[in-house]
Amino acid sequence: MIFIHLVILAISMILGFVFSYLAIMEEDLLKAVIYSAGQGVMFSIAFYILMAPDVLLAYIAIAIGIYTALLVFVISKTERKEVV
Amino acid sequence: MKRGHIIALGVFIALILLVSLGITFVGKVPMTTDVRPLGLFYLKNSYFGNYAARSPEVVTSILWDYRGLDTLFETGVFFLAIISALALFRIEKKEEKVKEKGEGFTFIVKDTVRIISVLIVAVSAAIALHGHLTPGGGFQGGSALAVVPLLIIVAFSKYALEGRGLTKDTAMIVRSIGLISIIILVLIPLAAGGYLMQNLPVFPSHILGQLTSGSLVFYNLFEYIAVGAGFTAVFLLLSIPEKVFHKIIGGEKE
Amino acid sequence: MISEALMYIGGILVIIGGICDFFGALGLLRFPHFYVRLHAATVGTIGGAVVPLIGAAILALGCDFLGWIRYPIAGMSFITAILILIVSPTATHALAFAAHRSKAIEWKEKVCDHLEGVKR
Repeated sequence: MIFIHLVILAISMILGFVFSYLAIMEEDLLKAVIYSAGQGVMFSIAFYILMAPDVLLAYIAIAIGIYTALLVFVISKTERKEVV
Repeated sequence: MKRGHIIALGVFIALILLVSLGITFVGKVPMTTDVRPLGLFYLKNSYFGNYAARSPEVVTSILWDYRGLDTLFETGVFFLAIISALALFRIEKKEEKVKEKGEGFTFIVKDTVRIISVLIVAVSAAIALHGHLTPGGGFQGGSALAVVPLLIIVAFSKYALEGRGLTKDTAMIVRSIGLISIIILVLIPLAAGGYLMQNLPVFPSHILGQLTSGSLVFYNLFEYIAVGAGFTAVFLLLSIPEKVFHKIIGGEKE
Repeated sequence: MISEALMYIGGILVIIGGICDFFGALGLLRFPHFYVRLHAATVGTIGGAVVPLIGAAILALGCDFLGWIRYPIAGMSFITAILILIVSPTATHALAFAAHRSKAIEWKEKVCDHLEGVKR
């Protein structure tokens, strides 16, 4: 039974790393915010499997709701494309 | 997706898998099955025992009782973050002159937001006020509560929220009430002859036959109010349109 | 007898959900422009999330070996299904409304657009 949990944990963590890589490399900042929210979803699954519901409840509200909305507000005040 | 991204991701995932499999099978990491002594102390003493917080939820009793001062200063850090956001977006003159009527989305979205926001308030209050019984607590409930003004700002408009009395100043006053109540709760045991943030002999463990775990339920309640109102103030500040800033501050015209 | 029937009904609903998810993903990849892809995504959420959740609730009611805990499982599944049933079409509607309002999408072979001249 614990084997299934470990497999789900591995898949969700790898997908989270993929999302965070895409969020860093994306030049359109609005898309990068969406990738970051995807990473939040994957990490919250990992937190659930690691049996940390206290962390999960704070993380799922902040990483998907509040953090995304704050960054969208900030992007709407500045420029959308990343300037290096 | 570009080709370079795929190659980089492939190398990345292969590296992660190699390292984790290598640690598991070659490095022979011992599986730990027993709890360490410190964790065992908390598990044994959180509800029963001599040093009890009278709370079946171990995490909350560590957060607000055994390691209470840490959480108190975390709340202070959050307070400073909100203060810095307020200082960045400071508008000294009145903003009401440029009031305009927001349109918002269609009535389908508005009706759904009306239903869902009541539900989110109920769920977040349940998370916060049952924080000493089930997983959750003040910060979790407050951050879930902060989703409600966000939904209302997006679906209706910022002025719908402010027309009903929830302005930035109101949110700041509510947040200050929450923080001052937390500080008073910290100082009450000193007046009763104990030490800072003492829990059980000072506060009753049962009120009207209900398990309230001493001061934990009060800390959760006030943290819930403070966090929710603080996030609401930041959202109200951030959703001021940019042209209003230009008009009031009188900076460069675009 | 009843529990076996409930288990079969629940299993069939879960399988229907899997099929809907497959077609939603296929449409998301193959459809030509944004609005039709939005339709495929909604097939994925309603058919692929609400129907299997109701199926899981019925399946849990049919499992006698779970004891009393099958009633909380069924209740939570039903509540989640109803929530998704309310929220997901609204989100799709808001996306389509905002995309049409901001004129971000142009598609070829435009057959009809009833909202073209409407100001609001």
